[in-house]
Amino acid sequence: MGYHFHFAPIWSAIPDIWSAVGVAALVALTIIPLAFGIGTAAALAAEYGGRRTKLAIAIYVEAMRNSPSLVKMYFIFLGLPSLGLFPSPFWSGVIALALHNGGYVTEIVRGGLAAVNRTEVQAAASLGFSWFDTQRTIVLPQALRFSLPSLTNVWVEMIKDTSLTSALAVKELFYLMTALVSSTLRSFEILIVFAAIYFAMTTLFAIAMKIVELRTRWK
Amino acid sequence: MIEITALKKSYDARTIIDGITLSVPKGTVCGVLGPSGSGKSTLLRCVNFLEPYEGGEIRVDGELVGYELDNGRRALKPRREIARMRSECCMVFQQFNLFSHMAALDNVAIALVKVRGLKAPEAREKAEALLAKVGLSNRKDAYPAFLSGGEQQRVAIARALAMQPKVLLLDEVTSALDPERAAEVLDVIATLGREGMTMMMVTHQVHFAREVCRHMVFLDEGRIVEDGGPDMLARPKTQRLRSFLRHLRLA
Amino acid sequence: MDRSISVIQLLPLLLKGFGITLLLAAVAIGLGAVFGTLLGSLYAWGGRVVRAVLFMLVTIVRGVPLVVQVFAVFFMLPAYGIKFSAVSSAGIALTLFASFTIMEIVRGGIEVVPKAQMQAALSLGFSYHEAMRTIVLPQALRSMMPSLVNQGVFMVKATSVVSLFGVTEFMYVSKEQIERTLMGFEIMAFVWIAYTIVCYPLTALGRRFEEHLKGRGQTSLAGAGA
Repeated sequence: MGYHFHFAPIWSAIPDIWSAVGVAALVALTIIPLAFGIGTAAALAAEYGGRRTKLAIAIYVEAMRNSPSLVKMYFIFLGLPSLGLFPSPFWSGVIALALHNGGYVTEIVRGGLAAVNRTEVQAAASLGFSWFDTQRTIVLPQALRFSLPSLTNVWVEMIKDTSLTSALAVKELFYLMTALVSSTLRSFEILIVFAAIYFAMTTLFAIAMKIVELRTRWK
Repeated sequence: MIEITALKKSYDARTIIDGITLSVPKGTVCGVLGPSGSGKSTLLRCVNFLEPYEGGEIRVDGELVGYELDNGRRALKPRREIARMRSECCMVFQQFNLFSHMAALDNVAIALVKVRGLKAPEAREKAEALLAKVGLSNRKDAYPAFLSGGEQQRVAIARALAMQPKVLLLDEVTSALDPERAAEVLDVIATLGREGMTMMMVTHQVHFAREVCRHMVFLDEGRIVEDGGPDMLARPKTQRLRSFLRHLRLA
Repeated sequence: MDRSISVIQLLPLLLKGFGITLLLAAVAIGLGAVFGTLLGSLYAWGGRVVRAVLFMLVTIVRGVPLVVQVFAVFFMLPAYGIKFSAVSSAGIALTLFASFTIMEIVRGGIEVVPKAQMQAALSLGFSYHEAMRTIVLPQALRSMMPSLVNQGVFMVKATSVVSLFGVTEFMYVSKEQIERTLMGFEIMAFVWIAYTIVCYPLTALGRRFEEHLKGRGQTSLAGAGA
């Protein structure tokens, strides 16, 4: 093995790496509340809505689950200009991933809603709770708690998918990685460092979610 | 306090309640007995308007439950009105139905905050007093999963009492409990009865019912077959009630 | 009107790209199933060291984006003097990824069958192989089916990632045509629908398997993975 490691080019790129980590984190942290909002709203609508609402939500979920997130990114970034809309690379990526991820969140929250005891809803009704208060204080807290482990899974997938926004020239980690490889030609070292950064991001996120899970136990 | 007149209720084609007329005066306890499927739980659920009813009327403290009359035609009350009336005649369930993600104290306090609009500290103070009343001061921070059945049911009673209801509806509250646990719960109910709480209770505890209930009705197939005072069970008049009591004794 | 005619004219090109996508997915799933089964058996029945190594590898594979892994294959192999075409490199990368994810499913499937089932079969006089073939494997396979089908769907979608490396699959060809014709809306809508037509029946099948398991009171291994 005559390979000599040279990490020097990477050290000099640390400021760039930091800002790329920042962009990736910003993309992910913008998507989580969006996807969470979309998913929760859609799940509630599917649970309580009429037949047409249910059908619309089902179509939305299937449209998201059965094609790559890249399709939605290109659809927004390259497709919407045909309609006279020109979303920025950042927002194209964020909206596409939020919609894509929201489809999975919908399914998960629906499962969570189904796991809440219907009898507790009746108990709330018999105490005079309004529908809104019943959802907010009795049903959703439990449904979302049941959903946490699965939400962690799909959000880890989503964090990894933020690397695909490089295809729209969002200057996140993978974008910087390919740029550094072609400018320094130290592909092996760069690969190790960037894989480690991604690994740290997904692992830290999963650990944080686990802590939330443990802190919110009631059984 | 509760006036039920010619009540009718059916699911699809099946008649569940077939013309029940019943009056529970203020401060009395009315026991409802009957075999399973006789409509006794449904009767309670109608009083709480967890089930709508088609015919007759139910009045609590003079007010029609669930509907309002508009030129003689019945229309559903606004949701908020229905919720208010429910909070004035609270129900305690066979399976307790505590909110499983909240500690005992919060189970009692939450409705005070959400329905009565109290501030959280005030609600918790009241809730603590109520838990003390049902003998559970030491368990106030426990989640339902860590409470015994008897403890859960006492929390559920405290939760209903928190609303200071005009009426308490008890739906087979001891059926899911072993005899010892049931006794804890029955003690609490007997105390409430002595304090003058108006209650309607569906029960299979014949001895207990005789002690606590001033008035009793026996339902079968959605009708009142027999009604009377506590001694009704000692001297049943109808064949139907006699055989029902015999079955209970065997069980 | 004029524009929609051109989409039809583009169909042969686009469908050729879609063919490569499906080919890549089929290779990755097929080879991944073989390697994944071998690795999964190793994982379930192997010694401490083997398990530790496999655990480490699968943790890395699941914690790092697929693009980075594909990148590794595209740039590492040539560094060791191994040269493949872009499509072959993509096939290798996707197969590696599929192998490790299927390994996890197979291991879970094996471990979900209680050891007592094997003991019960042996106590009835089954030979080890008979017990494995008639008692343990059918149960393991049934519990694995939903996850395997979902993984299949995942792989079909995941192939799109290699478009970033110039592999002329569906996504790459479509993007090329958008740049040429500027019909982004029409072409991407077509791509979206084409993926859905292939993936939806599989998703529905996965759900059927899952419901079937639930109906038998068994649990599936499938989390709601993306």
